[in-house]
Amino acid sequence: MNGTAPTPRPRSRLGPRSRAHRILQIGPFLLVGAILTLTPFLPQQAEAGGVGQSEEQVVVMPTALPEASDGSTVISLSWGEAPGEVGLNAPDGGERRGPESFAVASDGRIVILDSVNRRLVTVESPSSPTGTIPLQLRSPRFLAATTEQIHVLDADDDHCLQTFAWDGRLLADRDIHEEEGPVTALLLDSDGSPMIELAHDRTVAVGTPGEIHGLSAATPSSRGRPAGKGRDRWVTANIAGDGGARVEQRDDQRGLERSWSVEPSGRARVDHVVSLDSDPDGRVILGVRLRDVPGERRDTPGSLLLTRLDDQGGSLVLAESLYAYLGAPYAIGGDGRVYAPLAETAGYRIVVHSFPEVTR
Amino acid sequence: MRATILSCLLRRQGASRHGGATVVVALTLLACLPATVQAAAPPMSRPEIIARAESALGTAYTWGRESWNPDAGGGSGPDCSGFVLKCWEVPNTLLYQEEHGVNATISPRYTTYSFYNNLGPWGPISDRASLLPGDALVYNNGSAGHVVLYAEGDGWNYPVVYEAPYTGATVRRASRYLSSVYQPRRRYGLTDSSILLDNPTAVSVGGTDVAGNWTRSTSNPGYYGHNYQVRAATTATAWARWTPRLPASGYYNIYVRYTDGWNRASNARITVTTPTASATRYLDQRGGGGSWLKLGRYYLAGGYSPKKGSVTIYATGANGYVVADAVLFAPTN
Repeated sequence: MNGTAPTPRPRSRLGPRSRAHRILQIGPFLLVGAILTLTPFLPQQAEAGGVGQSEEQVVVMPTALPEASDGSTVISLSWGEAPGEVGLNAPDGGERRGPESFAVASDGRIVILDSVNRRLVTVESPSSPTGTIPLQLRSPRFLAATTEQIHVLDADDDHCLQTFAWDGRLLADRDIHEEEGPVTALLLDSDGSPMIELAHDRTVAVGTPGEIHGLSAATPSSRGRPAGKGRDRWVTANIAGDGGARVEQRDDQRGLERSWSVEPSGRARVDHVVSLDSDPDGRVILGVRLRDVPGERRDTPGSLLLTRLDDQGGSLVLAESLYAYLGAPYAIGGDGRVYAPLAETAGYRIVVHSFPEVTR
Repeated sequence: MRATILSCLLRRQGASRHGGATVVVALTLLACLPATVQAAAPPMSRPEIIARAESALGTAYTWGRESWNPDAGGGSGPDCSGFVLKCWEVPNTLLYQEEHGVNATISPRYTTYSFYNNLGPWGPISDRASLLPGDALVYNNGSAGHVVLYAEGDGWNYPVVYEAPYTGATVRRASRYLSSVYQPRRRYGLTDSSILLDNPTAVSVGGTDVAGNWTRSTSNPGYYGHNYQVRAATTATAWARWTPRLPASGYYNIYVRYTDGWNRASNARITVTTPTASATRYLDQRGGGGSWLKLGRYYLAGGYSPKKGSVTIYATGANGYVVADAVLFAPTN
């Protein structure tokens, strides 16, 4: 075994396969240190199990980050309040405001929360005209979209979840009473129904319109975020140890299916988990912001690291936006690609990035 | 007067639905004020900062204002820098207890530019990993800026902050993505570095730090914060662990809190893990609830690691319900 490669750490749970077999499987991509540059998080499959058994991988962080992805622009909008524009407000005091969220439906349509103009801006395709949907909410921050519906959540002031059709019709208006928070995401289950995540820990399904939905300790909830289609599968992420993270995937019937232990290497440490998503194929994507290194400035792009936690081990570095008002720094589209907002003097852009194919 | 108002604030915090999961309590620092400090900051504890932040929730962002009435349950509130200034009771602002409820402003005053450039009684922190509740995060690019008060990190270590966001919105406690432009700042004159971890932290630390199906409850009084966690006795694996992010290595007095009841375990196993050893004792949770029970004095390593310093309580093998509510880590000399 190559001496420079990270040491696989067998976690003998229930795996019937031999460790040697697994090492042979992953041997080719453990050989060259340069691969670390292409795949910052290199998964090492320790042991695997069959139905009812779990599989654990150790993922070692890189000592050096690859270049940030440039991506390609899918939509570019000027600042303003006219149709086809989004607002930017630099007040005398308080936080600068721009679009605070966006969502991508599985058919590629994009909806942007144009906070300053209190509306949604819908983009059918990069070349087609945009539409607008007025909002009455004071502090909407969360968006989710299917091919049929757009969900908008104001968890801060109006405590309301509104659902629109893409043509702007208001389909539902639900009161949301947050009793234990904070709200950290608006998610969709495998059927496209909205779910609200609290404290990056548990997820509450939002029921029938007309009811008052309390998000209290007594509200039935699920641990983690929904993942995959057609199954009751959930993923959780947690900071673990000193600068690492742990991801687990559970199935309602089968329990713990897979887990990944992300471990630090060199000076790279996880500061916090940014997002945990799954692509259309059910592959889990972990996004982390790396910890500041004392003595080194971190106000330059390049500290967001996304890893697709599958056997391919694809990783992607994004330029971290210098504009916090854009909300979450990226979203996973229905096509499995990574969409990220950018703010520039001329206007607002959404750039799409793809995970690189891993050469073995 | 001051004590009366502070106790009022603390009562409000206890009754608030936004009560902080992690609070750092009171007693050290006061040294090393750099020459750039404009005015000395009076001693102040982190719980007082958090209590003030809680008292502003729901008040309306008002540009140029730095006050709010904590008893009004709303009304006009501060702007972002006024909010932090008042929570920190920074000199050269109007005193909080003299001003609340009065639409007073002072000019010129500290702004996000002052926070960003350390022009007051505060200073930078080496990195975000060192943030503690009551610290601030600020950016200012010369034309725009914002400052928020750090409340805690959740199980993702994702920042939860208090902030006065912008015109039209109210002061809130929210989970916020804060990019690298936000720099951490710490007020001088803080009087404590103890760390209190409530049970939501134990829950949210999730996979690696809780095992078994613990549920949240408010059935029995005496818990800290919103609620407590409870787990029926079991032979299966079931534990909850509190892991503090310690600013420095040293000796800490460790206290635990729970709610008692007739159906509780009289043999709830609890273990303190230190860098060199583990110490186990058994709690009788049928009595003694609602107060801080000292587990002992232990040497813990700085940083964040269950192996360097943590407390774990087990429902496995217990003879009744086991409650996990809160743990306090208080540094000792």
